[in-house]
Amino acid sequence: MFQLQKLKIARQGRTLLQINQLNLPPHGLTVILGHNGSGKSTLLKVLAGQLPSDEGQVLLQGRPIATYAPRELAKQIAFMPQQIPQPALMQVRELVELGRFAWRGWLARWQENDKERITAAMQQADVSHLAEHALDEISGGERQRAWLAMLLAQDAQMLLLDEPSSALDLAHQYQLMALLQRLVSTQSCAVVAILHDLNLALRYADRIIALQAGQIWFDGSPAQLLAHPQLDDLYGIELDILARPGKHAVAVVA
Amino acid sequence: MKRPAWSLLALVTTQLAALHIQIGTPLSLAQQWQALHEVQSLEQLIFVHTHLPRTALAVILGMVMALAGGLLQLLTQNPLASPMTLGTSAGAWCAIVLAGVLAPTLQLPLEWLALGGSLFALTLVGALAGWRQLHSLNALLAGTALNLLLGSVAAIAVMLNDQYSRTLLVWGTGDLAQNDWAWVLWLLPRLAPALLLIPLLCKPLHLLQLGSQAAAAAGLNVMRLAIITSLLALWLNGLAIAAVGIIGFVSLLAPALARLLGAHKPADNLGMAALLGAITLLLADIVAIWLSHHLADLLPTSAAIGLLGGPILIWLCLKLPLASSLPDATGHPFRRQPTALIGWCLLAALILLLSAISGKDAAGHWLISWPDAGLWALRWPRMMAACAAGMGLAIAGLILQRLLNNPLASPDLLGISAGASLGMLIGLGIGTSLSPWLFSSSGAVVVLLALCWLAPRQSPARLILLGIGLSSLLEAALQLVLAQGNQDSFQLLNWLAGSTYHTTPTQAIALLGTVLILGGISLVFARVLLLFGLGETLAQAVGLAVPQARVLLLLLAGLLSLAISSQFGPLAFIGLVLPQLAIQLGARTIKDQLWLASLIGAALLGLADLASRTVFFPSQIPVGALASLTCGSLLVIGLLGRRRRLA
Repeated sequence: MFQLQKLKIARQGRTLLQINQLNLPPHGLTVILGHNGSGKSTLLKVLAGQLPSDEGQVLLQGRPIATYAPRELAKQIAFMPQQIPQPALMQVRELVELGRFAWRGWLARWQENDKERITAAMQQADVSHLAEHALDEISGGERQRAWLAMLLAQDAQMLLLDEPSSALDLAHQYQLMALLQRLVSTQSCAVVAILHDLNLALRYADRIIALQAGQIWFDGSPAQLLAHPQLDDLYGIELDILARPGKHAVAVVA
Repeated sequence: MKRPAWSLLALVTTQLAALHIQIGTPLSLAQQWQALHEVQSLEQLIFVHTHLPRTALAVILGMVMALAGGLLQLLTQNPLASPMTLGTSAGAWCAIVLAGVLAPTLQLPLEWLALGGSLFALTLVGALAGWRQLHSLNALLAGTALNLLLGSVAAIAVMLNDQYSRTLLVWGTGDLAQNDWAWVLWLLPRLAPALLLIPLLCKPLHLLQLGSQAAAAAGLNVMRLAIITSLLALWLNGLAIAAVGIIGFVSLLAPALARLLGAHKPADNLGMAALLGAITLLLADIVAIWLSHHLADLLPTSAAIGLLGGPILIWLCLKLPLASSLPDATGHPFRRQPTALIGWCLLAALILLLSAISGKDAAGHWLISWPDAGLWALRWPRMMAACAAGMGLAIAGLILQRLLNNPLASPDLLGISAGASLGMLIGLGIGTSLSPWLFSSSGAVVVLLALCWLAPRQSPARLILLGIGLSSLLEAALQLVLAQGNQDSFQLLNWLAGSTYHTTPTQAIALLGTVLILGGISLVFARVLLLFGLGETLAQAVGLAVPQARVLLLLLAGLLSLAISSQFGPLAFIGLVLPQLAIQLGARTIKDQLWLASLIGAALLGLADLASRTVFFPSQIPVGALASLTCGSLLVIGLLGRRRRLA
């Protein structure tokens, strides 16, 4: 779905991101890992069309991403930022309804199927009970789930999530990842998510891309990452892999 | 800071002071020297008692105003803060005017009145914008709104007492002309606290540049510093206002220029700002003297400096980085009940009916009955126009507040009403027989076109800054016209205060029609307004073509503002308060807010129309000024209420 070629982003003489070749298919759950300042968020912003590339090309369905009109783009990709805004007075339902903007535009009324999508999305993200609450009176984790509901209502082929689990408690982190995995397997939509938790990534990802200093350091399956001889270099700290018979292996700081 | 820069500035200051002395007098240098020892001719008398004190006053006041502005800028960390932009100059002026009008016999000392008035204004701006937000755009928004409000308060006072005020108008315009050394001698001892305190304040102010929290963590008593510094700044500015009236811009420009020249440390910044302030004021006064020689009318110094400073201010607005406001951590408590729109509809209708049928008869007794045909024909156009204006301002305010994501945005800050007023001024200046409406609306159209051209390129916050710059330019030009104190200036004052009594039926119907159509359009765009709540980047990610939407919404608000301000002049606070009031009354969705705000707007302005006819019967106060005053007071009451709930 995405093709990146010879991409380079630099700010004040410092290269933030340099990617020779990267393809992202319209299916599968891809997790981006990397240390602070490795260019994860920059990459996601480029994919979301919010940051134009200085050099190289970003093609979406074979077309440069800059040529898409905002609504066309929003039908293809949905984006969750790291910082979710908390506009005063906006109710959760109103937020989720905005996900249908890409399909209905400025004026058209919501159709029957819009309403169905909105209700279903709120159920999937587990925010139905919050529908009438304002965004600035719910917790950070609830706000992240409300935003996810909006992305689901947007019906895009690809979800781009910048640290979607940062404000979630442990149970909701795993619920979120399970939900994303279900979405990927049933609805043929793709997910690209930035995560900080290596174990969460190892357990749910179909593919892991690890960045280091703006360059792709690893691109492969979780099993390949576990077998990587220099895994410690990823975060610059020594890691132990604990193999657990019948369960997922976990990585812990040695 | 390098030494050559200092000596260069000092050199320029003395050169300009010398030039300033020479430009006014026909005497030769030798005669001037002689005059200092012994006055022999009338020319020498004029030289000693008019020219010399004027130069001395220009130097001293330039420094004083620059220090006042510099202190405020250092304290608030806001590069555009100054007594002018924070509304404190207007507060001081308003206090002096009110004391002169209401208690002329008391002879209160001017400098204390000025200090009290400006303290009141600063407190209000702090409460409005939030004390921690003074570094951001919010402070400027609140300050400008307050400027407009206090302007209308002063206008009401002046209009009710025009005998006394004619001299006041000339005084208030900030002219440096002197006829003895009295003011200089009055000023000098009162400057002593500043000269003693400023050296002590430099180091703490430097620490404050880390931000107030970090400075407090480093052991600074931020509260005490803030109180001392702001009192000192307001005292200095109050002295300048008491001595010569409002001369804007110096207090804003001098410290900003000092910073552009590289003086960042408080001591450097203040010292250099003082020199630059003296230079600016000398330069402006030289221009004023020179122009006054060549023009028929006397040109006050403040007008000269406004004409010089306005464009520079606009340039600074576009150039300087300004922090965006912090998210409000406290959160607002909102009522949870759903809106009973029907109830509000009924209440508004009742108020309108009451305002329509009540009035006073010739003897001043209350009369509540359906007016006869003649009276009704006089009454309905102005009432309809007032209601339409209320609705329109509410809608325009709501659009701008949603567009900017800032509850302090309001249509009077867009610069459109400033454009209308400037157009009106030009029309009066040309003195043609064409309708003044034509001039005011073409002034507004020019600003609106400029806004639409800039909208896709600049962020909305910058656009508002531009509007603030324009408003300041307008104030300078206004002072120029008002200084003449003739019939024209009162006509203008009347229009500026938003009077409705010349409204024709056609104008009223046209205004109502425009407001209803534009309001209907904004109702349809409710979804887009909601999207702007997410912030522009994310609204784009959800699929909104942000630049186009921005232009469209600005156009809507601008057209509303144009339609209203070309008839009423600038109306402060109404567009700011009504949308917020609707939220406080329980409107949750945008559509509810639109309906409720415009209903309250119509009812409020209807009521203001009634009050303008009856309260000071038989004279009339302009509806707009009255409504601005009401909205301003509502805001203050609301703020006090919130303070109590938090405490």
